[in-house]
Amino acid sequence: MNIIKGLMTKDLLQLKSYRKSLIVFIVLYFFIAISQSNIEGISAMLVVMLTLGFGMFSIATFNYDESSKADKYILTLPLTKKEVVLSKYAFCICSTLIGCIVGVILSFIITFIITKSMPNILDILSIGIGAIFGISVVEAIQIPCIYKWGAEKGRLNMFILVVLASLILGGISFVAFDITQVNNVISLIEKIIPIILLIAIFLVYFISYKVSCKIYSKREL
Amino acid sequence: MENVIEIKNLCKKYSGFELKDINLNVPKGMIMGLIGENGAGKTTTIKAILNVINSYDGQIKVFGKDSKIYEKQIKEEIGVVLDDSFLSEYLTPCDINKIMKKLYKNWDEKLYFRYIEEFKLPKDKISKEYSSGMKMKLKIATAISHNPKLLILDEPTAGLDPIARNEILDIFQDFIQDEEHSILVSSHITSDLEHIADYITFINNGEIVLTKTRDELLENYGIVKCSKEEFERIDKKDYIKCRKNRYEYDILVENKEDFKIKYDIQIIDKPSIEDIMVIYVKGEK
Repeated sequence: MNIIKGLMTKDLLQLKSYRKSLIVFIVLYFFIAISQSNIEGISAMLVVMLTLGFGMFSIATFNYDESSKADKYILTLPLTKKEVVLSKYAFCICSTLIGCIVGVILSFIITFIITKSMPNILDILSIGIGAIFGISVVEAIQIPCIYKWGAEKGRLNMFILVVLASLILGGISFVAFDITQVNNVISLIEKIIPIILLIAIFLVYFISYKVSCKIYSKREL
Repeated sequence: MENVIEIKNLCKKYSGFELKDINLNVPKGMIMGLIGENGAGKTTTIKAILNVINSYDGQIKVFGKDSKIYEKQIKEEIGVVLDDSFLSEYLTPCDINKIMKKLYKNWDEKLYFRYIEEFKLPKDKISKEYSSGMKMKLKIATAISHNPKLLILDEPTAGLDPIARNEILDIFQDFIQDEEHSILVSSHITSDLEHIADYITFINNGEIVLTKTRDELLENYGIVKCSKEEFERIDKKDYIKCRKNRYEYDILVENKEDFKIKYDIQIIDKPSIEDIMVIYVKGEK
């Protein structure tokens, strides 16, 4: 456990230079949010943007590792390749969660400032879970791509993969599904969508972690 | 003599390069210098010892233990300095301390900051702003602050000016004072190894060409400079390799005293390790 903490500390300290950007990012969204008139839209936007933003910041640690060629050095320390991969996932998940929590807190504050009442906690949490699911899918594809091709090339290849997958899935759904039937199904399971998403988040990260471990174990440094 | 590293029949194949049947022992309390031109296989050998490369044939034991089975245990006792790889340059020595104390069981915070002070490294400055010599000193301070028994150094003096190189060699010599400590150091700056190494191993084209004590190499080996006529009367068995220059032949011999007696040649130059390396690589037989 100490090893994972140590590697996460490394990632956190590496991101020190992002501190100012992060504060600017939060303040900017805070002001954009309070300038809007639709209070529900404001809350949703804050939660989504901060969750996505923090999630994407965490991916920047791969760039730092790549620019200093830290991977090779890290593997000379008393740890395993699995621990290195696990620490990256733990860091990404933690920063995504922190982004979501900060977003939820800010949306409560803004709603209270503007309407003098509290927002519906279940609605806010559902939006948060949705945002976490969104970023988890991005991270789950991006991290194995980075392990396979490196931080720069991995990002480009991930983009190609996402576009290809969207085209294929979009094509299949266009041909195979009737949109009204899909809407009917969604309205039936509306109440349990957050639970389905939570399970999906867990599965997405788990599969991605296994794939990353496999790629990294075979990678020559 | 007890060995801290024992490599038996190490083989590793890449496209275009092969490490062939490497057998190497690093005795306890000694400095072993690994020399060879760029791409000869020094770094690959070090990476194999540290299990950084994926798979290889052969067996590597460190402190008498299999390096694959006891990897974590072994790495607790090793300090590593790599020329081209370290933690991010956006970290300060204080940040590195926070990280390393979680990664090493034996991390000695006081010792680390003592080294940082001794090496005159600013504690709160990111290493990106350091000179090359300071960066190397930071890597060394990080490598020796968990009291390792063995240091593995890959090109630790590459790209440094003579003053910085000298300071760094002094650090290694201090480390080795205690006879419990050993160093395996690869370098293509052979003059550095002439100063500090007890043993020299020469790798060429993925193969070990020789392993000798430094004194054996510098005292027994010799370079005979002779004309074509003189060269033609020398038996091939009596020299290692020869190199044809513009006006003369440089002949590398393993035992200069025997050679002197046999061929009645009085002047045989004492070679540097670099001379030996160059004739081995460029010479012919």
